[in-house]
Amino acid sequence: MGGEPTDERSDEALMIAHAAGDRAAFKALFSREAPRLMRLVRRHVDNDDLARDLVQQTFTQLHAARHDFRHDARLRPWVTTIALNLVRQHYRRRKVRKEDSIDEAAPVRAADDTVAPLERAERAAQLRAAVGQLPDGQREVVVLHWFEERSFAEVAQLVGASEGAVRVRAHRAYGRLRELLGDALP
Amino acid sequence: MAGSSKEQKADALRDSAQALDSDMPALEPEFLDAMFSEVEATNSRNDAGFVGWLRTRPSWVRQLLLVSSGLMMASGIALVGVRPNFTQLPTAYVVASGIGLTLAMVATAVLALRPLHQRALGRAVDWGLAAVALLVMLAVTGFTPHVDGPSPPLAASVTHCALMGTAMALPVLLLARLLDRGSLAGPLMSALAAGLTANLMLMLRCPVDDPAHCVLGHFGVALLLIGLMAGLRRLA
Repeated sequence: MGGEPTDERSDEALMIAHAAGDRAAFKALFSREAPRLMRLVRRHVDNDDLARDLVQQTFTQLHAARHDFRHDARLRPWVTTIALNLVRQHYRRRKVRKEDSIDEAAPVRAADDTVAPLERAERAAQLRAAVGQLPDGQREVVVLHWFEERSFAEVAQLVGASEGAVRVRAHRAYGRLRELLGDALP
Repeated sequence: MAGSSKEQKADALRDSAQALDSDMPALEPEFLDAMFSEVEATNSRNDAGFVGWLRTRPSWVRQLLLVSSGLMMASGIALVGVRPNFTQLPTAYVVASGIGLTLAMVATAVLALRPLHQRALGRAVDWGLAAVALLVMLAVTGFTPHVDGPSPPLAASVTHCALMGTAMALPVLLLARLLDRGSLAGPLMSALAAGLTANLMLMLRCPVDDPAHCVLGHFGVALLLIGLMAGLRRLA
């Protein structure tokens, strides 16, 4: 993926070419989208291997759905929706299997904790664990709005809800994060 | 001052978000190459054979295939022969039951194969549709009108219909699972679509008019299939 020439085609043109059997197009799409998706998914889950697995599943799903891709569609929202749905599926399955709870994975600092200022990595772990405790709908909104810095209108489009509903979810989510993180939340 | 404080807060929020990337593994070309090789290997495995080909058909084709198979099985009852007392059933009951079961079957079959690139409908929609589908089946079986017909022993007749219904539902369930690429509500909706098909077929075929028989032997098939899928999901 390193020294190959950059493909000038648009994401959509690459996807259409991939559906027609162009393997190089799929590889170009992967190298373009995988790093962004890794960052997105890693902000949802507390484990590098899991993030890698979910991103790989995203591309497996993208490949399987190649004949679903409409010529007038845009690829980036498409592939982002697949990744978000896989994250959602992961959390749903995790609720079925209780053994690997988020609480055990990374304890969240209580609001009245007076530990010295945190290192970045430690703060990241706390933040991720706290975000992991939010319900599906709230977690998606927080990741997309806060971490991805998308507007509420964009978030609403991606999660399939009205802008008003997204704002309500965000309000509740930030309230809950304040409870969980206390002064660690700016 | 207020503006400055707002900016500081925004910076702090941005810094917190960026902290999430601080322990990210470096996305070196070798790392991405290894990821891509695994994706390609999985894709090659998944594409192999007739099932692989079937799964990569456009979603509307897969959904149409599943709905048609359910409807064809139900129509097949007309060829085998409907219940002898079918003409005694009130028209309103036959029409309402037929439309209710068919619509619920179509809706659950479509949702069972909803692709992941489409936005999730949310749990409320999934559970709401599941509740409606179950209520339709419960209403059709619980309010079976009284007609002239046999009155076999309850346990034996319930077992017979439950077995027949399960046998009728299994091909639809199997097809739904074969066509599924991993939709969010796939297992539950597949079980419901198969259960609804079985209920439609039993409503057309079974001459027993005892509501207890219909609820246990017909509606029970759907519950059995849901239990089966839930069990398989836990084992997976």
